[in-house]
Amino acid sequence: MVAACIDQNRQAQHTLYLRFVGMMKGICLRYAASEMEAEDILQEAFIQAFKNLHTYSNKGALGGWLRKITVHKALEQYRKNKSIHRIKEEVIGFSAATSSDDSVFDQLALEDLLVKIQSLPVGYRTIFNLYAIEGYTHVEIAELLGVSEGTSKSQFSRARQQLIALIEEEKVNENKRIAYAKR
Amino acid sequence: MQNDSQKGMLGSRFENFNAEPSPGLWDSISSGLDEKKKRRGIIWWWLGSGIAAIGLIAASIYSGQTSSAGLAKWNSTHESKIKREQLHPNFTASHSLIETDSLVNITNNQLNSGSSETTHLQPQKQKDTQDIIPIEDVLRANLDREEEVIKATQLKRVNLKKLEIAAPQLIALIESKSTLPPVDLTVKNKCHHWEIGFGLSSWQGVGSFGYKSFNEILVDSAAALDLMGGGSNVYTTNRPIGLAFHLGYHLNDRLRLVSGLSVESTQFKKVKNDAISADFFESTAGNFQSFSTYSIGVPIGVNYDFFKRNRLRFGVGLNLINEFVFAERIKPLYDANFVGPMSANNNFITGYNLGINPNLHVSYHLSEKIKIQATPGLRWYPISQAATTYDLPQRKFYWGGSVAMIWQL
Repeated sequence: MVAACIDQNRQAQHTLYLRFVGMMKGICLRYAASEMEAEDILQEAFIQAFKNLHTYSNKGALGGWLRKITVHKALEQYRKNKSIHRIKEEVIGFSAATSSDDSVFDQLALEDLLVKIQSLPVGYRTIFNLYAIEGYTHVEIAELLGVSEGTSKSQFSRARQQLIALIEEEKVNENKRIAYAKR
Repeated sequence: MQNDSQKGMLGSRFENFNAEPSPGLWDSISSGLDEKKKRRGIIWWWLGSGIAAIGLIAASIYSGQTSSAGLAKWNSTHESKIKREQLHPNFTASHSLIETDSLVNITNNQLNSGSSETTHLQPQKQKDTQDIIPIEDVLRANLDREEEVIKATQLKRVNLKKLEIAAPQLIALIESKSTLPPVDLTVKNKCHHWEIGFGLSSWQGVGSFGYKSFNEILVDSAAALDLMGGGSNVYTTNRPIGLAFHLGYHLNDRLRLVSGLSVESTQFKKVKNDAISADFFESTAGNFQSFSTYSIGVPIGVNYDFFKRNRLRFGVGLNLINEFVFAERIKPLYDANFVGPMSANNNFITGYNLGINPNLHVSYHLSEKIKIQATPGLRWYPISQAATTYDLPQRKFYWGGSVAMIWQL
């Protein structure tokens, strides 16, 4: 299939697309603020992947190769926006999380967690994805994004606190709704 | 408190997370792929037709000529590998072992026990790696075409300086982790880096003058004029100006082949130096108000950038200029019955000039793809043959230059 894709066989390319589009879109959704932005990144990632498929050496899983291209395309989008330098110190509307327990993330459904991640400012979101999901270290993230290690750490910390605060706030509102419904 | 246990803490949850794409996404991707193929096709068609037009003009003017001096062979099938400036020229990263295609669970124990993958830093001079652009450059470039990676990298050097410096180590570091399966992502450069442009040129003849003795023999020095018994000083200056089409092909990020097409008009002007030659000055030998020749030039040369910083480039170049003179325009003072002045008339003529053009160039990038370039230089014509109506001083030395707007394709 890879050889056929390199030969610009549209049918083969479509087959490859169908096989990996779900995984790649899942990655794009984590880095994008909206589905539209995610699909833009996804489209660029596929075009670049098909263009450079001849460089895939068959030594590893094709999915991993495509995943890496997708992440880098998402980081390109971040660099276009460069919002991380414009993130203000005020975290509007959110107080510091009362809980430092990361188990709040496990209690949330995946789709809900994704929505919460998408609601983060782009800089927080990018660093949170790279650190908490992709597993990069802060040194690596600093190099990738052109910031200092300290900035990466502080931005991740704020992202995590903001996420936890969002989750806790939703829990409180849910409890209020339940309590009201019981009256 | 943040600690390392949070690194990759959600990786496992998103490991198998898939999302449904929108129905029209594949059509958009397909259109994007077709657009790039079409664009490449158009460029080759356009270049081919331009080269064919040049060949046709040369063949029609030079149907009787046997000499092909100055016309260099152009190897259109040349595949050159662009040598990119390597910040760390001796190493690329590659890997010998790949695990799975899914996110691997990250735990401290796994990290501490070390990854089962190995990372090798291999010498660059292995086969297939000699001219490779590291993947981080390809993926980092904010462009769609791989041939623009080099330029993008150069132009964004200021913003991405840290990443560029640490890039090879970063790759090795990132791919040594077990989070993502490490893969060989080196990208071979496929060359083909064209540029086109349009500009204006202006030149001034240096020492283009002539002396005419009383018997109207053209001599080339005041001493020779004395030997001929004196005469009048009739200077003619010539000043070529023209439009130029520029074509360039990057062999690497500093060296490029240049060519193109120029259309020039050379105006000849009489400058009278002493009053006593008034009658002679207007004699049959100098019977023109204005006189111009027209030529098409095909320069072929090389340019080299020796200084690059941000958007500015300085460099040197050397061109061989093939000029084909094809017309003259004369506006005589009077006709055979000494009635005048007369209206201008045009004649087709033939002629060939071979020029050597050393030059400097300075360019400023307005954007990644557009630059303005000024090219001052000298021209020397060792061969100058044109069957003009008037016996004019032969072209020798000129100074001047051109200014052009150039687009990177």
